[in-house]
Amino acid sequence: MLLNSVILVLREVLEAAMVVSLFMAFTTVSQQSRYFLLKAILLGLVAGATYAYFLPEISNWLEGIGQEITNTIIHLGIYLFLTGFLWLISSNILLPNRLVKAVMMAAIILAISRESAEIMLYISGFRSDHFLMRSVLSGSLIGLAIGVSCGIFLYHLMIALKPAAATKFICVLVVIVGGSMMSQATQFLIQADWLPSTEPVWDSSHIISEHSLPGQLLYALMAYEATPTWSQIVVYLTSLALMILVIASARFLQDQSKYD
Amino acid sequence: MMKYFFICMAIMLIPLNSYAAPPVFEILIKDHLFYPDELVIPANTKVKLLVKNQDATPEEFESYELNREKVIPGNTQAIIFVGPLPPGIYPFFGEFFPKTAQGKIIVKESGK
Repeated sequence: MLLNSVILVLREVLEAAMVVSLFMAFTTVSQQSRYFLLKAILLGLVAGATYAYFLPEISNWLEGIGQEITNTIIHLGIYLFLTGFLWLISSNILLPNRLVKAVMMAAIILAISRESAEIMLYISGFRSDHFLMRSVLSGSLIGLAIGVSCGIFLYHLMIALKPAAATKFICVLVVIVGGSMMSQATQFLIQADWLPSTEPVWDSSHIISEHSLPGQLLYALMAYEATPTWSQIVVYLTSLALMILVIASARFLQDQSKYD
Repeated sequence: MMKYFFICMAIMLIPLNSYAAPPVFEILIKDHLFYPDELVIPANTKVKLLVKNQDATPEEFESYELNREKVIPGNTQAIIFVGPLPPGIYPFFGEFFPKTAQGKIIVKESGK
């Protein structure tokens, strides 16, 4: 039970830790207080607890696909806020601008809510079993600690760079995370039968299996899928292209206004 | 203008309803085990899995091969659409109790 809990919690924490450490690093590089990010983390946990509490009802929405649609909206929301973040900073609207803070907070709240809801539901399942609860809790704590350490590692990796390079690196990672969110949203829409399920385009499970550690890490970073469908690939590439287009056009408009 | 828009929308929704409903297959979760743990479904057909969790604890139905994941709270049921799939074996597991909750979906051409 202990090892299961470590793996389960680690998987969930890694994804949220990515977004949090990216924004922590951006805030440090911008020499601003990180207090508002801590507030977002707490709000994310509250949102997660609420989601977990109402999950039985939410699952019944829309003839049983409420969970998929809620998850799609959460992932789509994260993507939109990340895109908003890229637009703002590429337009040279930086911290401590309130809008920048708001999009960063919203992305963190959404990212933490879904992942933490799953962890809370998992742990709450052992309420009545005190013997198992002990190992589940210690396993979860170990998983949480490893996940947070990975986030801290990523954070230090980024702030070790020069500010300009760090911002560029953060933007690249935000684009990668954004693509991953849209790929997962597509997956949920296929599962809900709102998008047609088609045969996988390729099967790379013999190269990197989703069961393996590299597969899991790649999944957390960029929603690695060994057997992706056309719709996932198209949505993934389109969302990456859209984000890059947003950065480019914001910069272009910025340059234009300089010459005017 | 809006009236025509709604009429068009209503007409577009009709064919969706008249599609043949996908066949339903039931899977039970009891004592952190799947019953049946091997489910045979027809190839190249979309099916609806009805997963009934009879345990008090939540479970997450997960399969890397099927690209599916869904949390099923205790004493509730969930539907998961699967397929159309080519013939093959697609393992699934309960992420919350992976030691015991293991199963596979066997996709077979009909008539074989």
